[in-house]
Amino acid sequence: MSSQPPPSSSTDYLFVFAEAHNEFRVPELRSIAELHGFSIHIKYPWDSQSSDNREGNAVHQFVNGPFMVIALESEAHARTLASRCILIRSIWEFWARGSSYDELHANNLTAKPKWERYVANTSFKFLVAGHNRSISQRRQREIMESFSYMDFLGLIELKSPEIVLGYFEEYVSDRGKLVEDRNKDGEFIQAYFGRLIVEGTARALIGKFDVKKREYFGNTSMEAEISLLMANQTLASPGKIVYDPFMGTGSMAYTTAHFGAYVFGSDIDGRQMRGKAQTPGVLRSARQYGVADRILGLCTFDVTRNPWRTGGLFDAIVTDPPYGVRAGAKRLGRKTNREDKHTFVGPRAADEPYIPPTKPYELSALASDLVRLARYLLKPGGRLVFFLPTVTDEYRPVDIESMMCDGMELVANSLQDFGSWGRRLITIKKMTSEEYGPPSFDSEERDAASAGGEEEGGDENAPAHKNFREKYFQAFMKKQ
Amino acid sequence: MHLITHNLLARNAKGCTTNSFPLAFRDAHGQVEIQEQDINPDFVCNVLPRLEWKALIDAACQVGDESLPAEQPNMTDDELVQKLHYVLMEIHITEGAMVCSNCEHICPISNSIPNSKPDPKDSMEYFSTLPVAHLADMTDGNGHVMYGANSVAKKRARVD
Repeated sequence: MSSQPPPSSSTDYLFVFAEAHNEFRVPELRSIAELHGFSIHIKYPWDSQSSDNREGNAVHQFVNGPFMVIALESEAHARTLASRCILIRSIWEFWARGSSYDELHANNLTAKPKWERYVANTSFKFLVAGHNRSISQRRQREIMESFSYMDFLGLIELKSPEIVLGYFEEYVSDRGKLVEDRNKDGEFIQAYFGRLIVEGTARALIGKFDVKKREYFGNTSMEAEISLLMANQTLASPGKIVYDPFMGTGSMAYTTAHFGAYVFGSDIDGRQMRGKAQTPGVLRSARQYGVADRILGLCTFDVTRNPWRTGGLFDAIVTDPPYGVRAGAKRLGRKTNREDKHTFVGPRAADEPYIPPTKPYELSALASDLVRLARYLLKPGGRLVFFLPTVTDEYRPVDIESMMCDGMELVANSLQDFGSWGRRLITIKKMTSEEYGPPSFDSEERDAASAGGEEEGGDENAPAHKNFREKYFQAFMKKQ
Repeated sequence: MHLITHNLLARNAKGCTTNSFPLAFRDAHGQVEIQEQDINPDFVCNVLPRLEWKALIDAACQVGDESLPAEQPNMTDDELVQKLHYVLMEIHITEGAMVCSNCEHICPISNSIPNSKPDPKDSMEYFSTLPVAHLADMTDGNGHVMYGANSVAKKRARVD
């Protein structure tokens, strides 16, 4: 899909993104394009290191600025993206770009067929903005006047113009640099010029799903923006069925249900889903968002002993597994090697419920079990979307490979960077239509066996998310 | 709990593999609510291939609904979609229990959330001696099922 040349009928659009979550932008665009059955072709910036750098679609990590030129087959596609992608601020018909004023204006003259029809009698407004540099009123006027050769005869209308022209200068970040080394006017990496097509409307959802305004939430509830990004990665749409096996307070359930999907949630600890009132907390929040009808069901169980009658049930699995910092992952079973082992305290009193013992669930085992569980429970083509925390210094791309299995393919891997650690939003697609049985959930034992008894530090190939909790609480100190 | 959940969940204990589906309702009669919803035909068609028809009919009968035909029709028309949606999504069981017909494990339903967690041996020893009405004792004053050591301690403190 990505290496195909753009169809001849395509038009170039300038995308202006929110200045956050850089690595999430392209996966989100691709997901929404896939959901609506069209393709996108990134024209600029391409990856300078890629051999195929005209359509450098594969690697986008290089892109930090909020501007991107993308070819689409129709304007309707641009409007679809703007109505659903959380990270899109606005989309413009792309007219020209350049690394200097001369280059930009030269390119703009070549693009004359695109803007010729607005010359005669179209009211307009002109916006000038800078990234990593604010542009003064005086310079804004200078820049607007530098476009006078276009000779637009229509009225300048600030309230309701027929078209909005946009000019953007992108500078490198000069944060922390000395005054003399800071950005100077005109020394931008790239300047862009175009006509407004549509403003992104999906960003408003971040306010709607604000955790602080939510009826019911917990201390580990996922922030609204990320919950929405995760929902988009699942390709949620009306009638689909999505499952969250570590539901907690249900943050992702509300956003996926908002896009029309039906959500099933389970958690080892039902108190998280219930809260304190008579109506379960998850349902109260769902009602607040008008999606209570699409909460398919809630159930308390340990996902390693899940009661699913059959596989192939879900269109997507979306979850934020507990990774042991604020909430530890647990599974049923007894801890081994406990020094303070309790002695048996006698039969349970009649008014006490049975409390099954739980033991910690190590993160790398959980991750590879989750991929296998998804292969069992997903329909062909279904997606698994989850967060994986990693230690920044130790992360290598092969870490993701360590948890993959036959029939499952990595679609996207986007880092949310917190400095010494980060979490990666992993999107995995079930490529096979073969039916797989339920997983054995014995990754921990497998790991222990392959490590050959060596307990600490002996395993060179251990992924960077292994024993994440220990690393976190040791503040990611390097081994001496 | 919707009947669709009942249709997708089996007993999940090691060693209890035969006849572990469907679970039978117990004490759910008085606890059935009907909550009307908008119908999404796509959703109904989406789940239809994964349903166990007989289990669904039996479950619906147990809670007093006999609107669906005993045999799964070959054709999916609007009327069937409507009836299916009603049975799958609009009938709610708020309190009660589901029992495995093989190992007799009891899966309590409280505040519409079933709990299929505890170990079968322990629960047989414990639950089988209790009338189902006592399932209410598993909850604290607010109606939450308790199984954390802390909450038991808290309940004790309250009782004391």
